[in-house]
Amino acid sequence: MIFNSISFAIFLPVVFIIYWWLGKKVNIQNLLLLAASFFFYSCWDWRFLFLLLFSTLLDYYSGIKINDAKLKKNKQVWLYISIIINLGFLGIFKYYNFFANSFAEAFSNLGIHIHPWTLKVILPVGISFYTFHGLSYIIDIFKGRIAPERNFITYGVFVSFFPLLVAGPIERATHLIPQIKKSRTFDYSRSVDGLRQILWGLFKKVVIADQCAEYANMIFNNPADYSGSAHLLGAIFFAVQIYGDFSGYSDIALGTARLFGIELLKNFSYPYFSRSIAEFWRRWHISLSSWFRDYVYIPLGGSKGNLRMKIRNVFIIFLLSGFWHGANWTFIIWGLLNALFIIPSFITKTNRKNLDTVAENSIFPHYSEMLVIIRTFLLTTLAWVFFRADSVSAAINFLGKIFSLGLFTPPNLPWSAYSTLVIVVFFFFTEWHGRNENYAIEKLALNWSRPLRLAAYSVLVTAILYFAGTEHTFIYFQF
Amino acid sequence: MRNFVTKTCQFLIGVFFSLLIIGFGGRYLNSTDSNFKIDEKISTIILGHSHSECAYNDEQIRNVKNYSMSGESYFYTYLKTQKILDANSHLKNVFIELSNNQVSKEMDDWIWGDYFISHFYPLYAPLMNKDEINFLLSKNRKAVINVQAKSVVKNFFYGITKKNYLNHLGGYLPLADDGGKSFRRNTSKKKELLPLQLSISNLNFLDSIITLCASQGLNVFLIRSPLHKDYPGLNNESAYKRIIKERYHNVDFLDFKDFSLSDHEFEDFEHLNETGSRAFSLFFNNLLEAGLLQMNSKQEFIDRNINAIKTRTNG
Repeated sequence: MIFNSISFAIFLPVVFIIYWWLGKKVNIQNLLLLAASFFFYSCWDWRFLFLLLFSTLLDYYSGIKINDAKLKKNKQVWLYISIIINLGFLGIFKYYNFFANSFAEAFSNLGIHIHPWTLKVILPVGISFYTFHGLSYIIDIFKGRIAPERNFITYGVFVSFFPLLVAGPIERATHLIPQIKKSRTFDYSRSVDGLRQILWGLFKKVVIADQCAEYANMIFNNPADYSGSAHLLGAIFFAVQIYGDFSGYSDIALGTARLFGIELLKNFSYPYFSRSIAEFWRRWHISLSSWFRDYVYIPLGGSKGNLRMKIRNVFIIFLLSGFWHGANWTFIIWGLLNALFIIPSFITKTNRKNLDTVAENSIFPHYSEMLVIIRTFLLTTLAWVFFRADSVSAAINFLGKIFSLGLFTPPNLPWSAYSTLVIVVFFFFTEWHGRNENYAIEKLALNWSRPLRLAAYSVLVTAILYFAGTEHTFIYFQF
Repeated sequence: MRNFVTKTCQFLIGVFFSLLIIGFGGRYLNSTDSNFKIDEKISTIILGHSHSECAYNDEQIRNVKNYSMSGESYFYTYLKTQKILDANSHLKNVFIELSNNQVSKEMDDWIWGDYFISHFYPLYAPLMNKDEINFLLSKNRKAVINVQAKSVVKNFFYGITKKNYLNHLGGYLPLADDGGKSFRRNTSKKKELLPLQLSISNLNFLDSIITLCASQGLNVFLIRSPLHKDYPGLNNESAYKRIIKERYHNVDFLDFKDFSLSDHEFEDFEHLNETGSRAFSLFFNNLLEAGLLQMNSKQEFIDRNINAIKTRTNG
């Protein structure tokens, strides 16, 4: 069941109405959320529900055991048990085949031919997300930042709350559990706000991402048919696609959670208006970046220590980030490239620059800001080529085509590609206009007269319905 | 909460009814007969999918109009044929492309697969009656529901722009001749064989087209456009031939598969480019002018002429 499907359009209102109809009793609200979340997850593949249940039970029990253990050694034992089993599942389902094939390839380069035993398993949807949920919970208990949750229903909702279950945001127990424990009361304006964010998320996904996907796929899948300039446009189409897809998903998740009186962590903050790569990474997939910062980067020493240590830590973080996305060299190189792009800012100590919103008090950016925004966008777009390509060699060939004389020939794309570009430009204007808000249309039409506001929403709904010809799944569901 | 649910429902119902009104408006505007009128001079139409769409340059064939369309299965061709025949009583002949892939199981997907419904439903919705919509709903309910809004908006825009609706439903498609580059590129990819099972649904709709044309006194001819000798779809040739022999023994079948063309005149193994279609269309026109349709042994005449060209080329 994906967010842009008919089944979700039925599921959500049904759960919403039952949830608020049941009243304010927190236990009943949570029980319903848990049941709805398990049902939601079982719609993907009911067999993996057992894996989710096991992972939830493991972390729930380990959390209590860590807290109750008197000796540090015993606490550590439970911490390691939980980490090893969690990462073990992730390793088996997500990385086993990659390692098996890579070892076989390495041996074959030495002249030794082995046939690796590979697993014919499908990746349980959302495993990377709920594993990281559980890990942060366990580590926080071990570090004494939080107390374990003793109510299993509450903990179950924390791990499996359906808006965030399959593609985040990666929540923290310190942020989400207190909200789950508290009784929620219906708030009209918050619910309207939630619906508005869902609407914008669906627009981003169905109208922007799915349309750009058509041309990105066309060019990435048939590179020989297109000119260098079309390749550049293909890379840009993919950059827009992945933003629309993932930030659209996050908007729908946040809006849906808000309908149930729960606020999730913000996951995107207009990353393509960043003035540097460091700023981009503070604005892109914020919940994952901050997870790596808090649970890997800072324990490794963070920005403390000498420059060599800092650079090492940055490389580790970005390699892990690439690897988290998938067991493929393309993701690892994507991570490495981003590390290379961000390192200069650590050397020049400018990585903490640009903490504010770009052109905060003006309508348009200064031309110098415009130039650095474009530079940052192009750098991230170059890296996205590795993220999207089927193999490293395909990515290199793709980039080779961009940096060739073909770049100066007209792009041989159908006219519909240019009409999509026009929609993309409109989309970025709207995003720019709302860059100080939580999502672009949060306050856009609030001052308009009611008929005008409803007309604007109707246009968005019609555009979504118009482009929703086929249900395209979200890119991040594969992670 | 009640207030929130009521207002949300009111908003959604408002959008729904607006779309409904627009939908009926578009359907009415697009389905009128005037939208399907063909020039009185045209006596013959060609129907089919991309093979015939790229092969028959109707500017070079006298009194013939090509209404083939890429990816079109017989279900959609049937809808188009109904409207064309209703609006054009002067037509005399109908050529219907019947190539190897059109008998194969993959045609089921061409009728009700997600991609094909999202593309063809908006085009053909104004021509569908309740039974035809129900047929698609029974095969792929989700895709039909998903495409409704797209269909409504598209039809409305077609309706108010007042263009001949038939212009949206096919025509000759020239593919640029790039000296064989496209052919080499397209044919270097993995060859996709056709599934050997048949698409009974697609063939049933072909039967309906033939019956419809015959009932209005039109001459129906099944045709096969030129194919490259390495066309992977020829893997079902024996099943294909059996269908022609057994199912369509009452219909004239004109086979141009072996029409002699060089590699550079093909876009790939199954589509002719502009140069190829020019050569073939001139040949086809000459045959028509020589009275092909009135002959008893049509295929023999075609083969003789194809062989004559081959001999001339080789000699």
